[in-house]
Amino acid sequence: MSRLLSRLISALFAAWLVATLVFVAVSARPGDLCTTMLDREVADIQKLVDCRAIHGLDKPFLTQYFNWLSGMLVGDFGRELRDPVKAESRRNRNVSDVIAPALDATLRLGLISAMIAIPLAMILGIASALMRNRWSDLAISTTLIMFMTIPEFAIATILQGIFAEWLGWTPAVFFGSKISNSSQFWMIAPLPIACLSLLMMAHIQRLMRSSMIDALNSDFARTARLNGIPRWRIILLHCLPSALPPTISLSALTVGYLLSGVTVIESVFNYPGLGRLLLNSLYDQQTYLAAAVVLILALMYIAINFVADVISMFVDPRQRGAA
Amino acid sequence: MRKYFLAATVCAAMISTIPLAMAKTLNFAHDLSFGAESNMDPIDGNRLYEAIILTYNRLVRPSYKTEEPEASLATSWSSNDKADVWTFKLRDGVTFHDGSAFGPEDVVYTFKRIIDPNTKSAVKAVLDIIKDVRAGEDNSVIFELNSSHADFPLLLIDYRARIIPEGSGDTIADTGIGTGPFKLKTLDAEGISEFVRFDDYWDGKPQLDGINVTAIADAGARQQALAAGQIDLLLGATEEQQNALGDGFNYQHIPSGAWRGIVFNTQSEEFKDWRVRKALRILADREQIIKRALGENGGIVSCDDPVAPTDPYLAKIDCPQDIEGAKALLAEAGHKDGLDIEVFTAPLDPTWAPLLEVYQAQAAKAGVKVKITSVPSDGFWNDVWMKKSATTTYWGGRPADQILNEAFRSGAKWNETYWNVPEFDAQLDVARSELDPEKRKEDYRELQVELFEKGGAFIPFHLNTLRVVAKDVTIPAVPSAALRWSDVTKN
Repeated sequence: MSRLLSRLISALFAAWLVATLVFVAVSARPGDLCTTMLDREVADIQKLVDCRAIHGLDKPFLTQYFNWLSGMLVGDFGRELRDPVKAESRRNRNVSDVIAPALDATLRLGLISAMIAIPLAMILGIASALMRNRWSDLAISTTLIMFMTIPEFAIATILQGIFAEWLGWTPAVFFGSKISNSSQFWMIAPLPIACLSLLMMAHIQRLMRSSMIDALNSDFARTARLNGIPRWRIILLHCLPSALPPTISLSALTVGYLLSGVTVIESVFNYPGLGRLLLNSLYDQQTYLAAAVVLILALMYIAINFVADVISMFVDPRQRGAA
Repeated sequence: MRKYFLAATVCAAMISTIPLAMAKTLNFAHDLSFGAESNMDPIDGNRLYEAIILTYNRLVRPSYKTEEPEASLATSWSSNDKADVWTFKLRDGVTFHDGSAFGPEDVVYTFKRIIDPNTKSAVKAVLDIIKDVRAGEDNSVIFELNSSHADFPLLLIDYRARIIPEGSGDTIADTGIGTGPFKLKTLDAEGISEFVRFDDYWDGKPQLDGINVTAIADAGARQQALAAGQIDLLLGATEEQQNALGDGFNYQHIPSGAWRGIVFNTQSEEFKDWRVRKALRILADREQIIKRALGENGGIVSCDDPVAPTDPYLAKIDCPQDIEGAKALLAEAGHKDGLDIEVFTAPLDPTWAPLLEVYQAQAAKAGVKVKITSVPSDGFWNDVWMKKSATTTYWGGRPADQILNEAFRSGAKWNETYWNVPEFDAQLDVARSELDPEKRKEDYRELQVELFEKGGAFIPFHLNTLRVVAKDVTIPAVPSAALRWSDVTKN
């Protein structure tokens, strides 16, 4: 229990650190957001002063920081900064409102990809271990490594070429600012899901394969075989629990990597998730919006790792014992 | 059985989301360069360009063949002898998308809104010459100008000078009500903006049922959407995209009037001698620069002439590479052992780096050693351009009078070569007020020749815009701003 608590405290500390770094990064950029909004009118000092007062940018750094942090704790990421003269302007949309549909779209994509890729990679890893050094093992490993080494945009383009242009089974890109219903999602999602899944699978499959081979070669597996325990029991009840914990940890890290890859994938498929929102907000000079997206991606990464730690503790008695 | 039922349900759901009106609806994309704030106000800084060209008309429009003005919402125009009062006769029987009648009050409102000191509109700088606008007799409007301008109708070709209904300034960004061939159905700057045919369009019923303009920020994604048949047009494509897309499309290389180049400060110690400036310009093989920087059909040779290739005032100047001539001029100017120069640039424009690399190699043949210094993009326009004595530059297309005044008149805000020649300014005034078209043409020609002989701008090319068109779409090969969208067809 104390181990779980210490993991939770570490995760919260990491989240605070990331939030602070994001805020410092936003504040440290040359000029401030009012100079960006006012563009060429920035020479009008009074307008600049008014704009800063309206948007709270004239307050001391620490006050701004605590306001931002306390807002975030209740899910308030502030407003976009587009209208320099009116903070509550219709043009300054609520950042949370902008992020919510994008977060939903990315979570759907990420979760489904993970739900497909992780079990599939584990099964392929086990299969490779059981058929090690045969042609099927080589074929599985080589194919997945190939997908791991090809850049994500290239995989996406290849899949678009085959399934959208050549076969015409699916659209190449999504049309729209948000996903309104499940049929829209399933129309565009297969290719991004396939891309993300392929990106994730190789690492997990490789580790599962080597962990499983170690487990199969271990003393306890040999003893079990000599005692006449059926092979499937040895694999499922003895070797698999031993091989799983490192694979679960790696899966969490890989999902984190997937979050960085999602920006490119979403952009290539014009998929309205956090990745596309991040890029568009940067083009649009909406620094607070971009900061909020970066923060959410980082928090997701921390949360996934925390969950992976907890699962590992439950699966691996040795980790529980260390508590 | 159950799995077949499930498969059929999924297929039906997918098919149901495909727009039914696909057959006669044209689809194209915009790059979301103005973000979520893109709107339908033609004079707003964040106007959705791809949309305003569908829904509004101007008083005059460019001809398909040249940039001369042609009748649109105005059917004829004339001026007084001094060319400082212009009368435009308006078209009868035109209606806006909401059914209201178009008349002089709408034109007066539109232009008063543009020149209003409180309006933050970039087009104001172009039309600031308008002193007053009022309704005239017999469905006409009268423009009073601050000074004579024989080509005033050319200024009204500006793509932002679109007529909106009287009193609609506060709502036009959302409603998009104009007199154009398509009317706004839904506006979603980050998604799909839908436009439907305006059956009462004055220039004939549009051929298409509608047009969908979709936001796709990524250039690669736009290309994939075209290849997969999701969109019918790719505007502003690159030669690499043309190579990737292959033979299944039609390709239109359209002169854009936009140019790229290197500007030398004519007042700086290094470049104050016109012989040095000319040498630095004539040493270039412009054809080779175009091939390397833009691709075979990416541009049209310019002889340091900012006037667009389709402009009626374009001067005919030849500028073959002349290494020996360049060496002789440098020797005359006291640089017989060669010259070292430094050109500042930034990764802001994709053509700058290849342009400079080719230029650097060509200059070496004339004994000119070019040092290329690249600075970060974000400080380029503020801290480097017009501050260092040699920098790269880019300009969009403008009518002859406008570009010559904006970039080469003494004291002009963006006179980036610091070209300070009173005689040149005087001739600009003469040309602008000259009512005889032939004499005016000659005046503008002399100005361009003067820039080629002694100016500080090295302009090796004007860019072509590459438009990729699906085979089942027929679209005139003219710039988007000149295009009559009612003529576009799709089989």
